[in-house]
Amino acid sequence: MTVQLRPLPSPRPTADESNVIVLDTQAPSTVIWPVAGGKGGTGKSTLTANLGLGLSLLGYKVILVDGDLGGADLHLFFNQVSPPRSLSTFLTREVDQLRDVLLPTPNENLRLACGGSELVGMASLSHGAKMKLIRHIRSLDADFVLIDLGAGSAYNTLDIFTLAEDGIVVCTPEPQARVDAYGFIKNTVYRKLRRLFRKNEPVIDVIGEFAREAGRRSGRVSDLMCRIGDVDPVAMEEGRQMLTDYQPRLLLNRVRSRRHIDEADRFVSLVREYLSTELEYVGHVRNDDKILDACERCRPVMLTSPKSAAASDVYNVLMNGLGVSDRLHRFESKQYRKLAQVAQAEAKFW
Amino acid sequence: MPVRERGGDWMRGERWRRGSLLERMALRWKGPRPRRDESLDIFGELRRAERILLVPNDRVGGLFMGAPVYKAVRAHYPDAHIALLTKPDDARLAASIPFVNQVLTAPLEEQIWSAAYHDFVDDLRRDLYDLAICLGPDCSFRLAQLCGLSGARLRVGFQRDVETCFNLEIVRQREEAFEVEQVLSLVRLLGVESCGDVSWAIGEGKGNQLRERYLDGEFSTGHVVAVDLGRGEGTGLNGRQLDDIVGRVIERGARAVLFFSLAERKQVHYLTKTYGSRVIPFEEDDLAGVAALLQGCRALIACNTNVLHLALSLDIPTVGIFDEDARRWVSGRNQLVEIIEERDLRAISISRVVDGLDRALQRDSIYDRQVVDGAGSAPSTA
Repeated sequence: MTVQLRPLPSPRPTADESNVIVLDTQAPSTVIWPVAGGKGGTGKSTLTANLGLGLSLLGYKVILVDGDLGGADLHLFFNQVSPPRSLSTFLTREVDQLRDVLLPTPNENLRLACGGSELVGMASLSHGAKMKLIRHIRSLDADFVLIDLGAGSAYNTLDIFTLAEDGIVVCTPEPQARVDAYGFIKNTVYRKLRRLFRKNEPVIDVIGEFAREAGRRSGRVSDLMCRIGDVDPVAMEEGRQMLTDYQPRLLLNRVRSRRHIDEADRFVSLVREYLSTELEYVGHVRNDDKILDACERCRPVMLTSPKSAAASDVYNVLMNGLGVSDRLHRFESKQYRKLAQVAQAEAKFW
Repeated sequence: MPVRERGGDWMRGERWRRGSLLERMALRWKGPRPRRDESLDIFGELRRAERILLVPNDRVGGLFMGAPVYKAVRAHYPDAHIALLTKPDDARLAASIPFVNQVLTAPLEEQIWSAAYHDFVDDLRRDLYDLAICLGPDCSFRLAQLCGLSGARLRVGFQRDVETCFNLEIVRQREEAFEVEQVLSLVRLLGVESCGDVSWAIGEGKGNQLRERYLDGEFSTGHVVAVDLGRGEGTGLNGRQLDDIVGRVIERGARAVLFFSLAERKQVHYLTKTYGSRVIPFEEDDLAGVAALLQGCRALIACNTNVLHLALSLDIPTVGIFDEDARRWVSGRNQLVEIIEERDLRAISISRVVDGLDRALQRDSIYDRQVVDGAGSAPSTA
């Protein structure tokens, strides 16, 4: 005897309300991780694609948003050469909701909002469009939302990066990349301070004056706080609290030697000293030709070479650096290499 | 990380019911003693009760089974302060129960002679309960003793073959009777009348959000069947049986939500690798989340009574697999449950489970028809 499954009738009959115990559950939370870096070519999109896939393999629902307005390429990691919907579809009001432009991937847990670079002027969003995009990103329903941001320190990039207090800054070991990463973090700090005190004109003046001076010599944010304290002691406390809460993370890409990791530690100290910001070093990804091979095949390296050094480093960053646990309790954080088995099994479905 | 509760035969063993020799000795010689009552005016105490301690069964599903009693006691004592003493695993669920004022978590993981345990008993005694009712016909020795050690003037519980601290013991009618009826008959003897069944639900907003996220809208088509991998108190089904069951569910074009606890993570890993996105694993430490997903499922296959009770309360057709008399755990009146009883669960054939699923779904379709068309319409199968 066989019964065909049928759609649920709705609504099911409910009992008398006084006989119902309503279970309390926490609304599922959403973690937003913007990924930026200042300099171009540091591997932001590559790492965003791999981190997103890694999170989905750990059992989480993940949405990747290509926030590199004007230079979108995240979709190429998922073999979407010409995506049918993208952020431009949303920003030109062809659809009402950002979730309507999400594209599925072969992994059930992973969805993608492709960037829209086909429109001229896409990189310079109006304030209204930017706020609308931010509002809709915040309302996306997933365990993790990763936003791949473009190079540079445009206000749009800074504002989307500071959506979260713990965005990821991707940097390579070259001095040029470190300088750009430092500049990017400094800009985010000043941007956050300006936003915090936008209604406090005397403090804004102090910040503006200090920023101009800081352009000529290396000014410490702690000195800025003292100057703000001279004008408005309460504002100084608020500013310090904001700096305490702001804890971006540093991810070092294309590492070739131990020396590069030591330099990253010095970079973290520099940021702490000059920007009064606790930059958390979450790990590194080694330089690996397998990543280039994967890029050529339009796939994340975790799928094409799950046992490669780079893939192993991504697992390590996820489970140890970023502290993400396996939602299905299969592996402890020290067993991160076992995630390669899951990635191998997953590759069958792509 | 949630820790799997101790289950298996241990939960039905002598030490579970009687306590270990050391525990009994510690209670007798070192532990706090219940007050000795020289005379007891039972009906007077029942009338005057203002502070009441309820102790549900700490076997799997016990908290669900006691729900009609909590409601009945609240209706009988509308102004009383009612506290519910639960095991730590149930504390979060118990906090949702509106009929009680307070949820106390028994430190069952502590040794009976530890300072933490003594402090808890002291706190319990300081609360000055007038009436303590132990609802578990075969709850653990520790919980029954806590009920007695509460120092309540009237301490009621089922008669046990070991020393307890109850001063009013009720003899069970039949061991195999539905547990809800057993506990209701206990409180009925105290003059507390039943107020009908109690069902469980989840706030719709949060429930929808959970279903949207984890079932990806599939729930709207109803093509999702839940399989509880938890073993409950028994040995449970083995890996091959579960694999076959999930495979048969997927063969029919449905997806399988796998409810699992830490102990079943390897099984989940295997099933995820085998079936990919056709299975949706969900950890059952958050029973409210489980309830939310169950509401999007067409049916449940379970041998863990916690999830089973939740599903029945939500009117989800269920195949309940038991290695003991199921009449104790499921009401004979429930039309939505298909029971499979087998002393050795490993001997259950998959076709039996699948046939059970068919029958449960068929009953549900009859039920739906009656609901839609109104009572009296001719039952029909889908």
